[in-house]
Amino acid sequence: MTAGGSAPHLPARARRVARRFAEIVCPPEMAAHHRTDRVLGELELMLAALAPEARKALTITLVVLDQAARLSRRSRGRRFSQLDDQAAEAYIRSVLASRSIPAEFVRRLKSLVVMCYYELPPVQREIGYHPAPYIAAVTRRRLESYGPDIRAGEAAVTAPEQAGPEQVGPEQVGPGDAGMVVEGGTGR
Amino acid sequence: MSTPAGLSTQADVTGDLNLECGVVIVGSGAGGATVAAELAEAGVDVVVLEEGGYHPTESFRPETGRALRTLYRDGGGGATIGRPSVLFAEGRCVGGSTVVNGGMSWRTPARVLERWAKEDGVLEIGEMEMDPFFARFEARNSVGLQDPETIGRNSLLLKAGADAKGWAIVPNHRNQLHCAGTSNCSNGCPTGAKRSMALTSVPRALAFGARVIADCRVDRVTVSGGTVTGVTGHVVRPGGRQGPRVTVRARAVIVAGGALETPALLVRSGLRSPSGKLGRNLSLHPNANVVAFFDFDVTGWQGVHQAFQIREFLADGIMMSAQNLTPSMLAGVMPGYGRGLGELMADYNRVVTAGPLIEDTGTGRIRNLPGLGTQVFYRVTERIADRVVRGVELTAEALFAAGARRIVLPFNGAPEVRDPGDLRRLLARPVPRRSLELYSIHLMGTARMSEDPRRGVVDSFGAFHGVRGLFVCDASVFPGPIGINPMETVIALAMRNARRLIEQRGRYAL
Repeated sequence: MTAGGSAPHLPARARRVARRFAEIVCPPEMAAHHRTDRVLGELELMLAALAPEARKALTITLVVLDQAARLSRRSRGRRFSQLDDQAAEAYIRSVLASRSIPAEFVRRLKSLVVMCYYELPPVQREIGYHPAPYIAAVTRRRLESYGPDIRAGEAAVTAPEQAGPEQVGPEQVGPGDAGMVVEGGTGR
Repeated sequence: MSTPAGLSTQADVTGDLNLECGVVIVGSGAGGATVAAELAEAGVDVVVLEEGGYHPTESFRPETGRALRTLYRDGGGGATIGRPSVLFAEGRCVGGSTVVNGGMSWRTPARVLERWAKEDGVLEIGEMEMDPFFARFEARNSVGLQDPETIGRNSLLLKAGADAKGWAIVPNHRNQLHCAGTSNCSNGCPTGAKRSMALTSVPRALAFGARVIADCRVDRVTVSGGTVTGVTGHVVRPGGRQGPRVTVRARAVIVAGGALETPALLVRSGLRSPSGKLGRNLSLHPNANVVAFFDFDVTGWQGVHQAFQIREFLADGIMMSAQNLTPSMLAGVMPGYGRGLGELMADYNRVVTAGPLIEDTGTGRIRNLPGLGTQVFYRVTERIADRVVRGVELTAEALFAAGARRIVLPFNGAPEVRDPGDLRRLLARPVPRRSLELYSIHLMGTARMSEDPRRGVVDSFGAFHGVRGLFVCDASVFPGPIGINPMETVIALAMRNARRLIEQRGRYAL
């Protein structure tokens, strides 16, 4: 996705599994502070940005993760999304410890989900990460300390390097050449 | 959002677009933007097509998810096929990866240039020939050392560790105009201090009359009778929807889409290299994250990204540095989950993340697979794995020497280590290769240069063997890995190759 369009929703079943998965792999504060929907929203945006084949693989991973729980002894035939906390946690622990190829996809999914959790501003504040005031302060310091040097450096970007018969300076570019809105047209 | 004069985005294009020009350049990163500026300044009629969007400095914020979705190809979620898989990310926006990299600017090591000349048959690639181009880039893009007040505690701790071990550590050279030290490089520099191509060569190219079209994916290079005739592609609408067709007729085509997309485009266009090397020979400088916890606040997000590089082991193919990860990125690489992850992340401000960059070998390959698009195959050889483990060990040793209390290693399933003895005991047994957790941001070598068409895809100056008027101008042309950050090498080669094309402009009627 290049221009950040709206995210397609996960299929309902996959979303249900994703919710349960997030409840297990994210810290318990996620559910306690009612942040699960925001994490899932962020996850859907991230999935939408992935290459289609990666998105499909992770969506399938959710479905397989759900069904494969039935094979686990402690699950007693239930799907992952139907397991209680203790059984669900034990199941995920065993999957994440495995070195099988499906487990690699589950680990990747876990990384993505916890990334989404720690992308939430309240969570970041709770662990002491609040970069906006810091960025504002050092940006001010930069301009106050080095303003003239910065302006000179920025102006040099478009300055001709050396005069020569082949070179066209910016002042020689005609106004018609600037900007280019084309409707079924032909450029020069 | 206003755009610079001469730069169009998808919103400006309402119907099929047909253009003519002297040179069409595919990609606006380190290679594409540089060559665009050089050619435009020489009076060549240039069109640049960039698949990604245009994002001005004011839009850059410390929001990792948003940055991944807007500035990176496929949300930064690339992964090689192989065990272990290597995660990789590359920029996709006006300015390419230079918008999201750390700005490290280092000249190609002399030993690498010598190897390229002697072993790979590349002409005019010695230090004497390259130095003027390095110097020109450094002067134009404000390459220099960091102002001291911007160096963060995480970098200082790594330096303290290296000093304690007696290892060579050097301050980083970066393309920055008084970097403020926001530690936001990978989300786009919010002050504009990092002199990415979006702030330097792209505006320079525009100022000299080049036209730049963002949100435009090139589908094919068109060739007739062994001579290139232009490119075809389409506008990319929001959400990735396909927009109007774009056709550019040009007398020369320069492909600068990066080491994955460049070979993918050329193969998609039906082009083959007699060398059989197109899409092969991929190297990617595998990196690994070593996460160290200290007893005191480090607050690694306050200060510049990678202020230093440990170069003691460069001859062994290992370089190390500290880079702060945002909370979401750190959580993504941490081994735990649930309550355990929460406890680790509660100490976020006490963490230093550092790691090795490994000089690898060209064991990777790009393939276009039906229904699966461009896929990257990469084999972590025993030699590469040994270097990774050694690099991780050295990084951990430096961090312990700096006072780290416990360290999480990038080996899946490995326990935390709490002192150097712990580390030695753990590494006394072989680390399973497939347990390595690796990532890459340096992809190189998939259209390697050589004067000999049987050995290289392009000649010494980027001209594609066998197709007149077609050039490659990005890290694809590297004959092999360089062991350090590749941006300056890409830019210097682009300047050099642009100079050659300008000298030969009559041959292509430019």
